[in-house]
Amino acid sequence: VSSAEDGRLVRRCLGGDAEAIRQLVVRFQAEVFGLCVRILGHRHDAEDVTQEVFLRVFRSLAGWDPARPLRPWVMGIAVNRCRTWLARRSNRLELVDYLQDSVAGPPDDDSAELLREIQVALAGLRVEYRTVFAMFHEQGQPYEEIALALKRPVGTIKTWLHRARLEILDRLRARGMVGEGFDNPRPAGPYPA
Amino acid sequence: MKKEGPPSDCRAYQERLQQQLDGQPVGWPAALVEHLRDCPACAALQGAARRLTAGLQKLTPPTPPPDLAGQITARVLADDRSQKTAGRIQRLRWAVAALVAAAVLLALGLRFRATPTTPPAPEVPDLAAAATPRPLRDSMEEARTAVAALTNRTADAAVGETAFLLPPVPEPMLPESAAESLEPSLRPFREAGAEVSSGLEPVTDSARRALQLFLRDQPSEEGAKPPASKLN
Repeated sequence: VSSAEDGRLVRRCLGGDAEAIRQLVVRFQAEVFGLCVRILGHRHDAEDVTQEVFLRVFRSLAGWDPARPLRPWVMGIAVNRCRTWLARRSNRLELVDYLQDSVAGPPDDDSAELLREIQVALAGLRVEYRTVFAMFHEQGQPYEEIALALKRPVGTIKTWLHRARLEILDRLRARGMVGEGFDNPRPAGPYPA
Repeated sequence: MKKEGPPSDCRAYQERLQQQLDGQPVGWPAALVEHLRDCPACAALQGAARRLTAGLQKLTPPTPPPDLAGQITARVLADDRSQKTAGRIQRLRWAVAALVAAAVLLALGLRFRATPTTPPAPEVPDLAAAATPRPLRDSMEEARTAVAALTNRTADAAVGETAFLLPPVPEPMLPESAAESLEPSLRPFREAGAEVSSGLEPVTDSARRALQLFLRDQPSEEGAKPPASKLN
């Protein structure tokens, strides 16, 4: 979606066009909700926060700079609302919700266990690391957009993501989720044999 | 077998691994492949990265509830309406406040304009002093003096005002016969003097009557004697 289309959509929303409001919600709700689930670790909380995020988005829409992309602006509001929510509540995670959403297709061998380990590792990360990891690996957002959303330099975002990966890899390694054949490396995807 | 490769090789491997996870095309030099064979830590990291990549491919983003968009849209529209209503109410409050302030200012302005310059307060007689009982004889004497002074002042004023109308007449230097011939000319002056006296009569008569009425209403100095009709 081009920034010109974003601008037109926003102008319609500001004019009180209900259909435009619905379009904007539909366009961003999956990403906002997904990020809220990853940051908060709780679906019900994520639903509440997602609604708060969009209320805040539409209240602040007149202040959006059309020269900037819309998605990082929306995601930045989502991250801020999640941080506020986390500060208010006790840190509780419900992994079952996460796993029900996360397993795609029939689980083979230890896929469920692998996903659980990844989830636990994610939940143990700092909020910033968790946020950056979810935005990059789950939502496919580039470094530049994440930097815009979090209002941090690209270098900081890279550093956070690298540390997040290393912490997750350390946990997987400590839990024995290291794959097979590292003593006898074999070609596997892009990794060296 | 070495427990860990040179730190520089480990760092070099980790940098390549991060680039790999970033999705960039990465070449693996033979030296790094050899390092992986010799460094268990980096080899374990390599195996974990392989599992992580596989797990991320199986990971699907959480899907929102099907009715979430509708709920959000309805809530946003309701919030928009309430915000607009609140804005209208706020503007209305400001308008009412401005109107009230303008009305108050207008009323104050009109009041100041309509109020005449305050005249000096008239001298209030000292009622306390007037209420102090004084001896009756003094009061009577004072009243008589006041009435007499008023009469004299009024008469003097009238005479003074008419006197300047009469030109000064020197002593007649004419012979008797001439004086007698002039007698008719002096008569109007005598008549004028008589008229002035008769003009002052109402003033003097009024003063006299007022004094008599005042004296009649005063009680006797010897004490209060009941009227004769009551004694009978």
